[in-house]
Formats: sequence, C-alpha cells, structure tokens
Amino acid sequence: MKVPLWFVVLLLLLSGCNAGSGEGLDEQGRPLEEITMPPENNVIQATLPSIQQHVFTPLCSTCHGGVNPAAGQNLSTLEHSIASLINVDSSNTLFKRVLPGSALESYLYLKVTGDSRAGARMPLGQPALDDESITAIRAWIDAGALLPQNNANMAKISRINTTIAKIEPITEAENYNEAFSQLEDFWPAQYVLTSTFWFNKAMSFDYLTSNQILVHSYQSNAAFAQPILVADEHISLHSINSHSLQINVSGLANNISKLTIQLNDGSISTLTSQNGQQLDGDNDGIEGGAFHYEFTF
Amino acid sequence: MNLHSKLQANAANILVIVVASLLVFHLSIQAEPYLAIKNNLKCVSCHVNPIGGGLRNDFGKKYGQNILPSKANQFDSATMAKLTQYLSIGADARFNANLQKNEAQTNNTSKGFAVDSAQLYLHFMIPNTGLSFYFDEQVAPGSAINREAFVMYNFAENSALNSNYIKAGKLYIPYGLRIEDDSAFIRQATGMNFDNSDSGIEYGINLKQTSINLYITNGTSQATNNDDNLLYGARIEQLFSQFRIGASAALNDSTQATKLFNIFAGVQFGNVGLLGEVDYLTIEAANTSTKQDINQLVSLLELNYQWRKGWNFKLTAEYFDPDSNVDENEQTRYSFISEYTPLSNMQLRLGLRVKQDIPQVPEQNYDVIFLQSHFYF
Repeated sequence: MKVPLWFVVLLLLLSGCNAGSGEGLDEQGRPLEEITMPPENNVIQATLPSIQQHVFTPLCSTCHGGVNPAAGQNLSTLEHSIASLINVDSSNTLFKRVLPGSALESYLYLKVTGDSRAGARMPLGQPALDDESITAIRAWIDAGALLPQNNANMAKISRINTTIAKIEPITEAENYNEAFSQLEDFWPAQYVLTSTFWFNKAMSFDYLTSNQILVHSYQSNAAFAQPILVADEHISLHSINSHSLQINVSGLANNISKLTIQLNDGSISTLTSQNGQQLDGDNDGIEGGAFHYEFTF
Repeated sequence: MNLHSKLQANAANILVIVVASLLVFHLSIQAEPYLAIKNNLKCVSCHVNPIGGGLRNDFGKKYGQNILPSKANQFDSATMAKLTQYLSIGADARFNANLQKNEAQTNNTSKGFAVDSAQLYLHFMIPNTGLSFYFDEQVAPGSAINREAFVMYNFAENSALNSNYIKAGKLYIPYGLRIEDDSAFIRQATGMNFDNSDSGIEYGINLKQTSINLYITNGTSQATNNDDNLLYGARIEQLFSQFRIGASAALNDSTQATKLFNIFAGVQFGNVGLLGEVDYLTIEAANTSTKQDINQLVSLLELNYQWRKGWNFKLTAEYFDPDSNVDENEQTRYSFISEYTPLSNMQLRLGLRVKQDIPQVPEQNYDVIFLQSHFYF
C-alpha cells in the first residue's frame, strides 16, 4: 500500500496545534479567578514563595510536577516544594535536597550551580538560572529555609547543630602543663555543649527561660545510667534570630555518655511561632507535643 | 589463549574504543521505537532489557554495527562486548552542542558544549538457569547515578510460562513508546522516562506478536517509598504485519492519587514510518483552589523518513494540555532532526526544536538548535 509522503506530512502538521494564548491566566497558567494570594514582587526575593513563583513553577515544575514528578520531587506548588525539598534525602546520599542553614550542603543549590557532585546542572537543557535566582535560593537556605508565616504547615524544628567545647582548669602556675596534670586529678576538665536549633518559621523566644527546658545527663560509668537533671544555672539561652535558638549547657563532666534536651513540654511551657502557632514538637502534624533531642558523646 | 588472557585482551580493546569514542562528538539511539516499527520487531529483539533502552543484545549490536550506519566497521562489536559467554557490557555516551534562545527579557540565551550523559551497562547471566543481573549506571555528567539494577529470571522457552520473565529491583517502568527524548511531552508530563526509574517488580509475558507487562513499584521514582501506597500498571503491545498498536495504564494510589492511560501505535510505509501516542492523565484533587481533579492530555506524532542508508529524518509534533478545564493554557513543541550514522557505533544528530507555551512564561517559549554525537556500544 503506497501512501503519498505529503499526506503523512500533512497529518503530522495537523496533529499539533498552536500554544494557548494565555488569556485570563496568570503566569502559572491558572485562571486569574483562582488566585487568592497577592502577586509577588517582580524581583525575586530570598523567600520560598518568591522562589516558587520565579523558579520552581515556571521552570522546574515542567519535569518536577504532574502525575509522576522527576526523581519523585514535586515542585509544582508551594506545598509540594516544602514536602519535596526540606530535609528530604537526595539521590546523593551525602546530601539533603535542602538542609536548612547550609546551602553548600544542599543538593538543590549544588544542582542549580552545576556542582559536579550533583550530576547534570538544572534546569536540564535550559539556560542556567540567573545570578539573582541562585543568590535568592542560597540566601533562603542559609537563612534556615523558612516557610511563610501564614503557611498551613506546622511550626517545626528543621535542623540541630551541636558542638562540644572542652574547658580546661584555670591555674596561675608558670609551668602550665605540670599544674594542669596535678589539677586534673581532683578537678577534671569540664565540657560545654552548644546546640543550635533551627525552626522552619519565625518564633517567639521572648518569654522562654532556661528553666522551661529540661536537660538530662547520663553517666557513662554507671551500669544502668539514670538521668540526672542539669541545674538551671548550667543552661543558657541565646536567640540568634527569630528562627534559631542556641542552647548552651555548661559544667558537664567528662564521664557523661549522653545528654537529652527537651523543649516544648506542655506541662511547663510551649514555644509558639510569631503567628501564635504552637511548635509541633512530636512531629505528628498537630500543634504541641514535646521535642526530644539526644546527643551521644 | 586461556580465559584470563582473553578477558584481558577484550577488556583492553573495549577500553580503548570507549575512551576514543568519548573524545569525539556523538549522539545515540538509546531506545528508538521507530527502528522497532520499521523492522516490525519488539524491543526485546535488540535490547537486553525486554522493555527497551540500555544495553543491546547480540542482534541489537549487530544491527547498530552493520545495518544502521552508512559504513560498517569490520570488527564484531557483539563478540567484543562479551567478556565471557555470560558477562557482557555496553555503553552510551552523548555529547551536545546547544544554542537556545527563549523569550525572556534577560538571560534568554544559552550556548555551549556539554556531556549530556554517559552510561555503562553490565549484564551477568548465571549459566543454564535463566537468571541474570542487569546494571545501568549513568557515570557522567557529575557523580554516578544508578538508573537500573535488577535481577531477572527468564522462564524456559518450552515451559508453561514460555519466554516470560520476572524482574525485581530498580527498573524503568513499561509505559507507552520508550522514545529516546526524555524532554518530549509524553515522557516529561507522564514522568515515564530514563531519568525516572523506580523500585519494584515487573512480570513480562512474551507471546509471538504480543507483549504484556505487569508491574508494581513504589511510585516514588528514585526516592524511597514514603507511604503505604504503590504504583500499579500494565502495558500491552500487539504487532501486526506493518503496524502495531498498544496501550498502557498506571495507577499511583498515593495521598494524591494519579492515573495514567495511553494508547500508542506505529505504522511503516516503505521508507516512511509513523508513530504516535496519546496520554490522558488525572491528578486527584490537584486544583488547589477548587480541589477538583486535574486532567491532562498529551500527544506525540512522529514521522521518520529513511533517505538512504545511515540517514534518517525525523519530524515530530507534540501537544500538551496541562489542565483540560482551563482554556488557552496549551503547549506545543515541534522538532526537525536529521540523524546521520556515518560509522558503526556513532551517530550525529542535528536538530531544531520550537517550544511554545503561554506568553506569561517566556522562559518556556524557546527555540533550540543542537548538534549531538552519540557513541553507542
């Protein structure tokens, strides 16, 4: 059976149509009457809604959206982006897709900057993101990957960073090493633990005091270690900014094997966002619940 | 020559070829349904993976060496790729030169060279058992990413389950036409592409003119399953003398359920091949405003014309309606691609693509010219 080539070509050309005119639609291709949020500024900001509007929706969601998003990562809406990015494992097991507080350890940032550890640069097959967009993404992550205050997602702790510092005994002896070795026998070195808690929303730390935080230590030389409540005077709080809180625990002996910190215990005090939303400490999707953090020495 | 020496000699030859080929321009046929339609064959005729893509089997290697190119090399690539009777390897590598311009007011042009992708394949068969292990690793650009890694069991030809197979592991999902271009609407909107394999189990039924695939996977692409729900699906393809027709369906019963359905077909008239696919997709309650389902329509029509040996011209028209309840939001894409295979194991492609979206998204309205070289082995 012979079919003229022109006929097939005609079929082919007729199969496609023109793209939509976009009349009555916003820049996400949605009807204007559906829009409930005010339009964002035309210049990209270091906020998730702005990055969503300027980068994720127009560029990324082409592949990372729809019925089967590429790499299981849906960036088509703000809610999907939150669920797909923040503290979610990436295909490179060394990285989270977004690690709040550290863009350089976030796969998303590595992807859009073309870092060789992250494979092909995104957006795939398209021009690289402009400097303003990359800067906004980095600033958003470095600032803690905050969610919009009015977002329905629970206020949560998104990242904890802990360091230990050794405090040497103080002596005025000229031979420091000799004095130190003598002192250490009856005055062992002490440790200070500093934990920084990152929150996904701006919080109210104004009325938070050290006695509202429960810190327990466990001694390593005990056969069945019992928790010992760390006294208030060894706990100090420092609000770094509206969404990160530093807790210092001092006077820790060198035989401690484990330390636990408990925040948001409803019987003592609760932490709330600046919008009055209680911290979802137990991560059950409902406001409230204590948050337990355990650090092993 | 003992086995060890033979292995060393083969490995050295293959390494030289792979490295040399990576140094020149190339672009490849990762999976080209038009070739299957042209020759009235199933995917499994040329590929180790029964659903196509990746490592070619002996026939696929011989086809790529002798029939596809203008000029065939003298060496036997099928023999070279067999390190032993039970262990074979393969590779694909694509290098691109692109010039793209979109309608944004700033930062609207990109041009340059890039290693598009490079894959290494390994297929290890346990003698006389029907059991084999298949591995597909993308090694460039950037860090290595596993695309497929599965164990497959082929039932004996004369058994009750004649030539059927079952495989488990990380695998491509059998869905529609497995065209090479992952950026095509039918592959992009459905997410059923080479960058989106999933972990699960697939059962394949191979009848003389019919292929049926049934599968269950996580439904989360390359990520770990994050809920109790899975992706269920099936694909069927029936071959006739000069044409074929098929259909696929998939259901991901997750928190936001998605349903995918398509029909596809291919026909060959002399040197002209025509293939097409239409997909209808449903995302449950995806409209954030009305909470209604979003229904999407995607189509592809592709015409291939073999001008002479080693030359193929491809014309494609694509259509994507991202929400059938919304007017004037459609997208189109047209491509013209000339494919030239001057030598065995190397193909050059020169293409022009025009993508059209609504004016509100200037970044998605673009024209691109590309030159690709594809090394395949």
